[in-house]
Amino acid sequence: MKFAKTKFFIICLIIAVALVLVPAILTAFGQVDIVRSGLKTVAKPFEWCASKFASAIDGFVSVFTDYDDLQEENQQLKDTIDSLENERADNAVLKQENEWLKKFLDIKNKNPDFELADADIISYEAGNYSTILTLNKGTVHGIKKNMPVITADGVVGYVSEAGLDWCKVTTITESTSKVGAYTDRTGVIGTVEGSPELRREGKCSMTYSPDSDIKVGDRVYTSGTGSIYPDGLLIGKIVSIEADQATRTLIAVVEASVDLASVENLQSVMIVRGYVGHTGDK
Amino acid sequence: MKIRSFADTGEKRMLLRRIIVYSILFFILGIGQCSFFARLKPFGATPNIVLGAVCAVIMLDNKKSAAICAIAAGYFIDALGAIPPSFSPLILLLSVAILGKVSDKMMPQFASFSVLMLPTIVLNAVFTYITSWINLRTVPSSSTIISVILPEMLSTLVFCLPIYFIVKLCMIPIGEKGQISL
Repeated sequence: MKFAKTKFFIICLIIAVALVLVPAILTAFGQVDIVRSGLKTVAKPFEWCASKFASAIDGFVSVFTDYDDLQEENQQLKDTIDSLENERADNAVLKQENEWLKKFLDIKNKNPDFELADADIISYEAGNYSTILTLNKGTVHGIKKNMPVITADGVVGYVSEAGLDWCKVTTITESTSKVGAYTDRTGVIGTVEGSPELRREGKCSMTYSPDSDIKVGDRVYTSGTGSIYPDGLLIGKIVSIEADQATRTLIAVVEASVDLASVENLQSVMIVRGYVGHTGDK
Repeated sequence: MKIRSFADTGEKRMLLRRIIVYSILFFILGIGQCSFFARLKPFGATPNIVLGAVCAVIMLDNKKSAAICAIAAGYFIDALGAIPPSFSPLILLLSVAILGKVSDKMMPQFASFSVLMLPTIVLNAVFTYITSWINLRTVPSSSTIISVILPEMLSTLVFCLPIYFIVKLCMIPIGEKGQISL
């Protein structure tokens, strides 16, 4: 340790100890070391530059070094998106349900005498010759044969068969369906019947007295005659007046207010279990 | 007398060059250590590049230059990034004394410097341990050693190796290896 014993080193050691002690003592007495403070002031802009440069490099490097973290964060965000998507889908269902309930309530308000039961369509048997809807309500829910089935838009059809917890609905466009009807503008009375030709288009025909005042655009309602439908339910509107090839009489083609051409779009319906003067018992 | 005066002027000029070159070098390294690397923390710790530079000065110039650089740089890095009591001037000076002895028989080349870096980082670790002991007022735990001292050793080793070439570059204006006469 030759160097450590030199006069030069000892002087250096004394200076070093002084440089350690003086700032410590000054700080202990609440004084500022002017030299340290001056050095710090001079170095400050350079420190700032170095710090910014380090931050830039750190930011660049972290893209690679934080890959796992980013991947994990990405996964978490994906999960969050999935969760939000599910929530959105649930909200859409709730919104649909809400709209449905509003319509339900609207019908209930318009027809306070109706005893309604809501039902979901669980299957569509859309064959070439007939369209049968199967609902999730049956006799156990008080559903019986020949009860009218409606939506907020109008008449759908009637219950043609009722099981324990299901029922089948024949739509008004079926050829087996016959409904007593009248037009709103002139009150012309007629019968709306299903037709094999018009069924696929969601239409049916209305027969009426030849001298009656009927126009395209007239709306057709149930007249309440017959044993199924109550009075005043909207069936549809007249879209054309044509000559029946078989009977050589004029018929009005009625487009059903419920879109029966694409029944698969129907999700829920209401079954009228009873109304004033009618309990559905036939 | 005339010749002596000429020699004195040359020596003073050389001394002035040393002061300027080393001032700039250690100013940059001090800022690099206290701002750049302190922020970046490669391997989880700030490398003691000033110590590496002092080692390079021991090897490429002489111990006296290294001792003066150690005191000045130590004071500077304490001014920039430490709260008193801080011991950098003393620690660096002691490092010069110890490492100077180690490097006495080494050739001034990169291979020797790399070898010298091994006792340097050990010495740095010892000083870090003692400093943290003084500042924390308790014996540093094993977790402190793992999380602070070991990363600092690795970081210092990696980032001090290029410092050799920077110091060697600074030797160009200073001239060949020699002694400062004070």
